[in-house]
Amino acid sequence: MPSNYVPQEHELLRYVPWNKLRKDEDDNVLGVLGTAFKLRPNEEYLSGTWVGFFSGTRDQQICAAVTAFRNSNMSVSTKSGFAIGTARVIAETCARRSKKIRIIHEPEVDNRAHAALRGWPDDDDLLDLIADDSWGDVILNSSVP
Amino acid sequence: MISFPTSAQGSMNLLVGRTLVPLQPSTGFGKVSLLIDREIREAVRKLAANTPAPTRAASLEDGLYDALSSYKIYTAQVAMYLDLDQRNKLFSQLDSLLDNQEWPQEDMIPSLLSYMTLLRLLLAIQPEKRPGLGSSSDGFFIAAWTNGDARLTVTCLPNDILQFVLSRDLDGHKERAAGVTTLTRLSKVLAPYNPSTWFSNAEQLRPTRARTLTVRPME
Repeated sequence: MPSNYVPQEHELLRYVPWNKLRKDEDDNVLGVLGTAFKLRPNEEYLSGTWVGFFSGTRDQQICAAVTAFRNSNMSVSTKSGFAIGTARVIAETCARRSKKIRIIHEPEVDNRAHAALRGWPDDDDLLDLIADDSWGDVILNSSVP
Repeated sequence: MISFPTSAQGSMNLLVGRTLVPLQPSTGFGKVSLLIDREIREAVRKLAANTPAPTRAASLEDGLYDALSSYKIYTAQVAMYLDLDQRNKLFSQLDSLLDNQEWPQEDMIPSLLSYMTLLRLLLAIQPEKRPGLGSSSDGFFIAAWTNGDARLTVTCLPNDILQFVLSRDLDGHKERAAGVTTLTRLSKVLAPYNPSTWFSNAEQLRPTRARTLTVRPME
């Protein structure tokens, strides 16, 4: 079956727990730490939620994507956040370091908008660059109805 | 010169000053060098990860409580170097970071050895502006300083080993660097990047990009 790639200009949302949010000394959230994008030893790909899978305005799409994630098997804590980035920008950041990634819509039973980022890098420096430049905007879980 | 109650200088000190890797390599800095550097850094992390961990607690809640207790007991041993306000603020950050309600179940709780490195880092550089705290899935503290787009992120490995990534604008050009060094070498390694931009309270800027978004409720 052919892969169903996420359109380049569409956004992806990734859950970021509290300990992987970039904060100041007073715990104000400023962004995301690179470690939020690091694969665990048993993971073959990085998971995200395809925002454009849902219809409506951008805000409505984001709300729907957050809701889909909350309704999945994953636990979502109060102070956590969601990183938002555009598929093309994320892929280009990786490509500049000679890392070709594939962003594929791979629906799961508990999240129909699930996307798998395959060929994901393991390079801490690159993950930090992704967190800084291409997937670093954050929406706090508490700010989404 | 501050002397700490426990000095755990291990064999990993062989890496003192070994790597300072520009992320936009010059023509004299080949792919093989980058590959070797990456291997070294991965090896350091693996070594650190193999450091004996505390006995596993019966539950996540117990584990977090035990870890927080061990950090605070260790801090008490160096209390003479921290004023009350600094200590309270640090404890508040630790309590927040290791909040049972927030902690991802699949993440390892940072070891005391990682905390010892973090605390010694803070005592050694005595920053006016203290870092935000985070942690990696494999159980290491992360200290993050942010001033506008100037960012310094330091992962605290056991035995005073520090893994760092930084980015900042210098002469109109965004420069990034990363590497592994030790506590004793950190100030020299950061010197070319004018570290006061992170550690001083003067001229602190918010990130130039909107880092946190808001959404309107659905109708």
